[in-house]
Amino acid sequence: MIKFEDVSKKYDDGTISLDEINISILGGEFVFITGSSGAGKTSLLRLIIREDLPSSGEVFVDDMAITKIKDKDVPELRRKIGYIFQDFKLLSNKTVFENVSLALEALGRGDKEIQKSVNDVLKLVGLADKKGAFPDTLSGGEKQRVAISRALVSEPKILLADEPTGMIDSTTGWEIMGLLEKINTWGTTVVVATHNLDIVNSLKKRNIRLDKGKIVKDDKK
Amino acid sequence: MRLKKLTNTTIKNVKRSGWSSITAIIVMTLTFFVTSIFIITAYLSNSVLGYLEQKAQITAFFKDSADEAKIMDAKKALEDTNLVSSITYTSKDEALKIYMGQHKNEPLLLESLSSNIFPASLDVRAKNIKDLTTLAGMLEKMDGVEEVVFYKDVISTFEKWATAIKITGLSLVGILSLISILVVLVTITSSIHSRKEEIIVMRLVGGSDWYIRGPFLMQGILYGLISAVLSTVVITALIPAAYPYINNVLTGIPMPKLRVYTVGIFLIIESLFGIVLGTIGSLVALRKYLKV
Repeated sequence: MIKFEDVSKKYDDGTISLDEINISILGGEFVFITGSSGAGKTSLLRLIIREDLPSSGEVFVDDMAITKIKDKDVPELRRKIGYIFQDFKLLSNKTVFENVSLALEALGRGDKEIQKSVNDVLKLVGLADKKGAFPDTLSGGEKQRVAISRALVSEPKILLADEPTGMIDSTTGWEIMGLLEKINTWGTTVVVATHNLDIVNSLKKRNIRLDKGKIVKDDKK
Repeated sequence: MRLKKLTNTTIKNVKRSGWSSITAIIVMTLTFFVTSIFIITAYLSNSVLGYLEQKAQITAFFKDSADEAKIMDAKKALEDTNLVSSITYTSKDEALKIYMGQHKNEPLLLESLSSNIFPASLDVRAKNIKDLTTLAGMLEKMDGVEEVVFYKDVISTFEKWATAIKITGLSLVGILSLISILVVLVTITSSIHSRKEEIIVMRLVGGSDWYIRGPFLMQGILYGLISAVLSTVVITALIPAAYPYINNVLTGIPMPKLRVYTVGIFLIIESLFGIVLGTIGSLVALRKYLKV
């Protein structure tokens, strides 16, 4: 499903964020990418959604080589992937419902379908009664659930989460992880970048640990 | 359904841009207004030119001392050259009548007139425009001729003016079009910046190129269309008001009437022009500031 082949990412100022990375993630896997700040976790996720290109090597997502796809085909790649941002990236002038429906509108889905899918996903994350609320009135955990709903509503094959517990308290963090696990049981490939080792250790999932851009540990299945 | 969404987003963008939108619309309206004035002027000058060309090409005015027999002799002499296609004689009385006809609404002016102050004249048209000089030369040498007005000069002077007006008008339209494009560019750019977050999210959820860019492109086109309609409304209201003044200056020249059809043509031309300007402005902004 996701494959990194000898991937390195160097920036113009000489910083190396990823160094000779080789990873293979199968469809339906749940994988943690761990490491301290600056280890290269976010860089790795950014390559998967082709927000960035590798300096060398190749990344394959569902058999698409990201350095070879044309600009106009990038939306097609991204539709396979749901992305949960560390800072949620919710639009403050839109309601919960509108924030989530954005993902389907962008795909050109019809009103009826949007209505149904958004209501379903909000019910799933437990926010059915908050759909008219604006993000500023929500708690951190609720915002994260909205972000997850938006990433999930288009039923992507892959879900990427960048520090999903970074900005919420630990109880809520556990709830969010529970939700991601549930999503994974439906067959969605889930990749979570985090430095929260408590969660990683107790969930007993595959952990790929990065340090200064190199893989220092990978508990392959 | 998608069109509805596109329209809603576009209108929202226009509203959010507030004063920038108003500025863009004002500048574009001004551009179209000047363009309209230019088109009208060019059209009028063509009518005037056509009128001058088909009117008498040489007019010879006779001294009061020249009697009708003498003028008829002159007429015959010209006809004998075989170069003339027509000669019309206008007597002093007829000249007065024509003048009175043109100024029938000004009784005070007419009261003091008598046929004495108008000269008798011959309007001469040549078969070939090249022979005008020869005919004018003959007339000038004839006894009793006071003055020969050679319309070739009038026409060429007018043509020079018309060309000058066209060049000035076109330059003005060009400059204003450029300003319009720049204003649209600035407005769309600020719209893009104000929706930056939304664009980032839309890109990352796989929003298509058209889905993200469409509303901004439509925004530019909408400015163009609104301005085209505004300008056409202003022009349509102004033309009837300007008619008496134009008629005063161009006495005797038949003026085209303003018809619904003319207004329609104006609206279509300006709308197309608006779409072109709006599209250029938007596309430049999108190319520069919105990479999908």
